[in-house]
Amino acid sequence: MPDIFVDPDFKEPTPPPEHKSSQTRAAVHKKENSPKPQNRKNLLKAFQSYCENPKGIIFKPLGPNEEILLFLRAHPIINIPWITIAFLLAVVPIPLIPLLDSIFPSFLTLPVEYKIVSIALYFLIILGYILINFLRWFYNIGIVTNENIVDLDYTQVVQVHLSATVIEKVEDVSYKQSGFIQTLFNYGNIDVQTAGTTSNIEFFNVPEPDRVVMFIQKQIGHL
Amino acid sequence: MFGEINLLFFIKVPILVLIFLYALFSLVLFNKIRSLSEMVFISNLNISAVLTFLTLAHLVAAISLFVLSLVIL
Repeated sequence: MPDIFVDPDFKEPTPPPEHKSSQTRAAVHKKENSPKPQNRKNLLKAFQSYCENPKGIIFKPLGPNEEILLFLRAHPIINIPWITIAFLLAVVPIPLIPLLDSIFPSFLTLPVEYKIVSIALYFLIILGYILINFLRWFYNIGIVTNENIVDLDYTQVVQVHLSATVIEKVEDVSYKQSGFIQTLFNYGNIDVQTAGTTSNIEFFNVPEPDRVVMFIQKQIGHL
Repeated sequence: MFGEINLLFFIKVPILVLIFLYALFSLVLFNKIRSLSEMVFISNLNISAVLTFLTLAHLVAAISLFVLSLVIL
């Protein structure tokens, strides 16, 4: 309905001046500008093991409306044994190469090309050992989306196992943390129990298992 | 003389077979990582491409060693 008369001298009532301290205003400003925790996206770093709401990852098996909420990988500390073995295998024989002839007298009788090929093959096999162990860690990942829990296992060179379960089918989530090292570095195994004949999903050696359990329980509505 | 040639032959064949099998294994590894990189793509540091490249370099090294062994042994 149109106004019949508008007083030209009428002014909109102005809100009372704020008497907030600069500290309070800064806090309010920060709160207004900071994104909500649920929507905050974290850039997934290449070797990160735990990331909530990750961005910078594309996982092809996911549906078009699925959103990755949690990204998991085994704790980097579990790589220490194979790194140590690879280091020893690569470094220890180097000072021994000139002594090979005296250690293995039969090596002396071999032509030099045989020696070159044997040493090259040895270091190539070590490179393969490093690659396989790293890739087994890198591609052993767990993903929690808004619809599914997905487990990608790359256990052997020729074996990749992808399993997934719908969030609604998850009945219980638990974790097991045992031993000095797991407690010290705060990592453990997560067991996601599902209803029916669907096989359970397990994430091994993931960091902050208590937080992961809470996160998944929140998704399935147990919290 | 013949004894030495026979001995070298019996060393050469297992080395060539071993390197050939290793090259095959490298090829399988490369194919697997290529398919995994397509399945899981992580943009940070372009790590998926780096890993594919590393496995390719590993494959090339294995094939080169096999060819080198065929030539020089």
